[in-house]
Amino acid sequence: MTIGCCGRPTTLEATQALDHFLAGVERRAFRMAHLATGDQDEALDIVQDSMVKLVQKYADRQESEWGPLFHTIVQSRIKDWHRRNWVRTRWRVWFASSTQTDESEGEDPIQQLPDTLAADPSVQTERTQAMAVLEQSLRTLPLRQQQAFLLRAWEGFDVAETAQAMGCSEGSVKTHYSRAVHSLRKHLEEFGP
Amino acid sequence: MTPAEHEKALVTKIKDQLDQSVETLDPGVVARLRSARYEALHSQTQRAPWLWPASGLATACSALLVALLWWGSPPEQAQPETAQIIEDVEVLIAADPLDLYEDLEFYGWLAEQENAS
Repeated sequence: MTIGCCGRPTTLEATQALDHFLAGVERRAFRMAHLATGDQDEALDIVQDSMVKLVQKYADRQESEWGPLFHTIVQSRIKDWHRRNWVRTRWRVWFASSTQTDESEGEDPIQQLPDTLAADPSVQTERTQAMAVLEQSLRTLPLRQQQAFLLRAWEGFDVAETAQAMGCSEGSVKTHYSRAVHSLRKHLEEFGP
Repeated sequence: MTPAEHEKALVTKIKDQLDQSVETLDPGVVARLRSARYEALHSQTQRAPWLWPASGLATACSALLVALLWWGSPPEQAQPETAQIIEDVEVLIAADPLDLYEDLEFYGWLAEQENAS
């Protein structure tokens, strides 16, 4: 037995259990972060940060708690990313409006920013048409609806676990999930193969 | 087919597609995820000492940036409110505190779990 960074005992078995857990969730977590950010590198950063936090702060928890804890961290990181991205966009717009001439007045500056949610063409060619449509459908959902749907439908969380991971009420989860399903059905029926 | 059955079929189809997309992830991404996992597990026993003063440096940068924005911009331009500037800068440079602010309910739940066990 060795002593970890916080004075916590760490064993080979515990490390192997964590490794096994993370190996089982890392790909789905990456896909969720990728759908939320539209950026592969940002998604990888979110997953790595979440792994580090889980290992450093909650490794001594029961294994059954790791799933809800890990996804709570991931969803929190995604929310952080969206908030920072929103603030950065606002500041870019403000700086741009401070330096530009009047000829650009009246244009929506947000329209001029790069579309980070656009699919990577090289990746797009490797996907089936159905998957491309589904990704587009999921990305058009508001973030909270996307989170509620992916946690409930894909991760298999119940309403209470989803509410915990999203940091909202169970009623909000039900509302977000219901709206997400409605939007997905409509979008997939309209654009699906 | 009832609406409930229709919804179930839709969700199942989406879930299957997402599962399939995970299985066919780009090998480069899979390798980077594996590397990230090893680094995370390694961080359990080691923490870089040079990271400790990071929060102090972030605070200093925050103060400097606020000062530059406040005194360095043209007076005729419309400026965001000071409180908004400070909040924005904190959001941009904060390493962790958003978790704390936004997930107080979650930390309360964690404490309850701790007390219960």
